[in-house]
Amino acid sequence: MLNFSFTDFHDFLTMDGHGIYVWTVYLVTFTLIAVSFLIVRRKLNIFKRKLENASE
Amino acid sequence: MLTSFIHRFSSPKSFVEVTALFFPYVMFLGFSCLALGWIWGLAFAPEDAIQGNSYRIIFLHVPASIMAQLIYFFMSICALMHLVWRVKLAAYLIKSAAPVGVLITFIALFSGSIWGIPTWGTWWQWDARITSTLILFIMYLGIITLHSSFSNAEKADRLMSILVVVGVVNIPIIKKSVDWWSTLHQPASISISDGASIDPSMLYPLTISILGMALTMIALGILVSKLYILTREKNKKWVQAYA
Repeated sequence: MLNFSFTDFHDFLTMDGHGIYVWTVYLVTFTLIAVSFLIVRRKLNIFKRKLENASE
Repeated sequence: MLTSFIHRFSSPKSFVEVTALFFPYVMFLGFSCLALGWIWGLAFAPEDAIQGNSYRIIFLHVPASIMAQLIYFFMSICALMHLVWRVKLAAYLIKSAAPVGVLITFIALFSGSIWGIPTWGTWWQWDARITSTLILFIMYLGIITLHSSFSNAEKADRLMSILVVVGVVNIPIIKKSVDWWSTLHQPASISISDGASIDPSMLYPLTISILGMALTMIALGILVSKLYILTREKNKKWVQAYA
């Protein structure tokens, strides 16, 4: 069941001409989700720093 | 009695504290499942006999579309809790879930558009399911806009909840759109009553990807709600002590 579906790495990247669509979708989605996590993390850190400064 | 029970366990403070405990595990499990499901789907699942390799977008598109609807469903339950029992936390969760909904609905629409190019020969078509998902996307944006257009936060919470409840009518329309209107989208391949009509070699990575996407969105939701709750209650004592 777990056999590599492509003959080689180049074949894996091009996917018979469908690679451009498949990889675009995965890359954009990965980036969007990663950036969302980072933005919220950053905002939380900024908020916490402000609180700490205010309480000092 | 039910009301007092709900209110005791729905304090924003305990929500932030309890979810902070779960957060690292949820995020780790979500990322792991997503990585496993996607690598399996991209490299090891067999090629589709009709669509070729472009079908591999399914391992991203289907989880994203399911989550786009589930997040709205979650918001509508929160909206009812807010309207019936006036649970403050429920309104906070709606406000926090909406941007996550925007993100995942955008991903669902975007991945579907790209998938459409090699498969249907077009990136956009006013197909019933695409149109109702676009309406869902606009609903999420509308909910955020409505809430931020009021200076009185409590009033904004109530009106937002009402809008969420009204908009829930769109969810069964999205679900049933493939059966009611025979357009581009194919009917569901996996159903609870009839089982799955797709091969296990594709079903397993798909199921893992759905689970991974769900946990990842829950993790993101926990972070967003923490930020929102802390900001909204920043003048309260517990937030001051939290830092």
